Amino acid sequence: MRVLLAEDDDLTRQGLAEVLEEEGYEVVQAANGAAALDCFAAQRPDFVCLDIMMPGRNGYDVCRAIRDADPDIPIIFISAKSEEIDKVVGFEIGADDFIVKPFGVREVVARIRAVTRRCLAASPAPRKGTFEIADLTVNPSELRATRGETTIELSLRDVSILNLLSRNVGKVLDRNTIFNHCWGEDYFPNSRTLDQHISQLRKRVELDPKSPRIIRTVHGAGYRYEG
Amino acid sequence: MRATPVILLVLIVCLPVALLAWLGSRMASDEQTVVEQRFRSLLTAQLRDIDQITVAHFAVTQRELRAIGKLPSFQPADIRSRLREAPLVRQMLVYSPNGDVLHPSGPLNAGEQEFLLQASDLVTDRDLFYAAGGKRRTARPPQRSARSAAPPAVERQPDAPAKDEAQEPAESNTTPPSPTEGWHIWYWGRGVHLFYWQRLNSGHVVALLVERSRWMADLIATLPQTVSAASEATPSSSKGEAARKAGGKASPSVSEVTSSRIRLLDSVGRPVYQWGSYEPDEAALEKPFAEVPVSSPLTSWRLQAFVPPDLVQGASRSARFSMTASLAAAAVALCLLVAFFWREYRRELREASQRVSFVNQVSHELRTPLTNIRMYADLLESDLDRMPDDETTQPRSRLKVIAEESQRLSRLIGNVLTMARQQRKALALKPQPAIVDDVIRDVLRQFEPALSRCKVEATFEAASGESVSVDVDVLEQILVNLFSNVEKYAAAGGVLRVASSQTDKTTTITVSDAGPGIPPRQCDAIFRPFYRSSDRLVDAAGTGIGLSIARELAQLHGGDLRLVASETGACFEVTLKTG
Repeated sequence: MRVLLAEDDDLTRQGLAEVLEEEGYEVVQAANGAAALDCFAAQRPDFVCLDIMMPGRNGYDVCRAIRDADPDIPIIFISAKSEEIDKVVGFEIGADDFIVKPFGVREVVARIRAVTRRCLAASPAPRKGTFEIADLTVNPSELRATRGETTIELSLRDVSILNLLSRNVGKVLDRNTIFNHCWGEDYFPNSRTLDQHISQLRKRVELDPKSPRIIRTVHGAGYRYEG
Repeated sequence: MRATPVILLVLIVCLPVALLAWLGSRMASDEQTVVEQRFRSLLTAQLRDIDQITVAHFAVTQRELRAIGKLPSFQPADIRSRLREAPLVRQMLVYSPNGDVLHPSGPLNAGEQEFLLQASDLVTDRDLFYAAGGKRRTARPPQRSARSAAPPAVERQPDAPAKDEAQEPAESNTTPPSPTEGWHIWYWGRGVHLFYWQRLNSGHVVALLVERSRWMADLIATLPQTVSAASEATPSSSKGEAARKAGGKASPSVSEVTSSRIRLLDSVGRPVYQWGSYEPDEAALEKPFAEVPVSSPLTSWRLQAFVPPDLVQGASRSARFSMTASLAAAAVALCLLVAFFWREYRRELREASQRVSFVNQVSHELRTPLTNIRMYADLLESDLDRMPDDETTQPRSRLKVIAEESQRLSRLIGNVLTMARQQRKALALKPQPAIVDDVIRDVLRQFEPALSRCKVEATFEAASGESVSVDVDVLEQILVNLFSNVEKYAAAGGVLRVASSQTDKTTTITVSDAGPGIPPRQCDAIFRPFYRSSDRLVDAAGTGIGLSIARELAQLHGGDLRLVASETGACFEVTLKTG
């Protein structure tokens, strides 16, 4: 899923891009309003994160222009402007959510996942159907997995990894296969990226992360789901 | 711009100006009446002065006639001789003490014959004799000349008002003696004729018919003349001056209203003599502005005064102008005063707005770096999560400090912005369905690291588990300020107790601690903006706006924030209208 991130502050933009990429999104970055519109036209993202105060064209102008081009695309404002009127204007011109700075990463992740769920629910993509892996039932369109009464929040990437494993029961999936499938072929991760992500995912989906049943390590080869 | 101050200012200007206008209209109307009254008084006094001229004139005439009437004998030759020597007298009528006409009688000259023809009632009927106090042989009412259309035939001197025996016999016992001289008005021919009579010691009554043309010419000669325009235009007699005097409090003299017209009218209303430069509009039958009757002997005559209407109106206009100018000056002064205050008010508003705008701008500018601090701390924490625990203990504890401090800074900025909005009266409630206990738990969770570092144990008695309509942001900010105070000022007590309760319409939350408490004298002051119980350097830091904001927000939510009595520490009670 491709996200257009328009933010004039470099550090904020890079940090947010990192968070979004970690979640499994492909991030297109723009440092001002005009660049954001160019990127939107060229890349056709699935949803947009916009700052309001940007040089050149502000976030409201960009939002209006994007809405004219695509009335259905989700748009999230991320801004230091926290007045009620700022939010009202944002929602009136078509924003789907409004995140006020300063924010915590967990808040941003939660809100972006909520928007993603709405996107996926409205999208006819094949990942819409649920699948089972071990005792988990994964619902990709909701970015959630359930184990009995327990609900586990997942990222896009988590769903993608679990989906890949569930479709390759008993097979060892090497790092390149997983990276190409779940990170994209253009991604050049460092050697520990996949291991760290699998480690975090295990903490959430495994009953005992130290003796995993869903994502088992095959030393020197990769990972495997044994069914 | 808010409508209330504008409406108030308009009222402050319009009401007094309308009141002034109304008062001015009333005063102008009153002033018109007062000016007219003053003019009328002035002219009446002027007419009375003129009347006194006639009185004085007839007094002189009376002295002359008295001398003429003292006859050496009643022989016709002596009488005719006296008449020839006195051109003022046209004819003489002499009654004997018993009323017989002694003259003219016997052989008459032409003048006497004519007189007898004209004055048969006086001669034959002895009217004048009886009028002069002659004894009647038989009582009969006094008669008047057939041509007399006038007032009483007998005129008395003003200073000798004795009753006429013939007219009022019933009062004869109480009235003083009958006068010995007087005037008798006789109407005949062209108008009034004057008889001067005197009763001699012998009882004879001598009546002198004054030559009409002579007495009228003499009378007119004593009256003022129409003055020329040049002599009229003296400073004291000009219209403006007269108007000024009439409009003011001074009493003008007789000569001042020279632009008027004074008329002397006879008993049938014909002008006998008139003077003054003003020409009344005869076609419009202009009414006199003042009128007085002429004194004896011409009591059937009248003096009338006419003045140009624009003289009176000019005077009242002048007074009205002065008054209107005063009122206009007062209105202008009021408007200027209000404009001054309005400008000051706008300037205050503008400066306040600039201050608020500055605070907003600074707060927004602070938010971006704060965002980065928080976000990168979170990202770093994520990185640490991927590392073995034994390698991350110290970085995690340091990262925790960064996260907590950035949260504290976020709260401070939030408070400053709320304060700025409060000053702009821009605070607005956004209620939504929520469970109050969940919100309390969330805020307590935020404070867990800080409270744990301060060794404060938090307890929560949750009893508000129903979903109610509440502004979560407002509730969070209230709780954050209260918990933050416990962290800063009451950590020594080691306790933070939170309890909630709910009714249909109200949610109540109590936050208490076991700290040093709040002295009774500061119970109200702590809710004032920027109030700090102590500014000593050794005391806890703070801006002094937290409780003020918390109370303002609670009141915005239809409730309140109060400090309630407690055995130890401080206990705050938050009530919110949630139904």
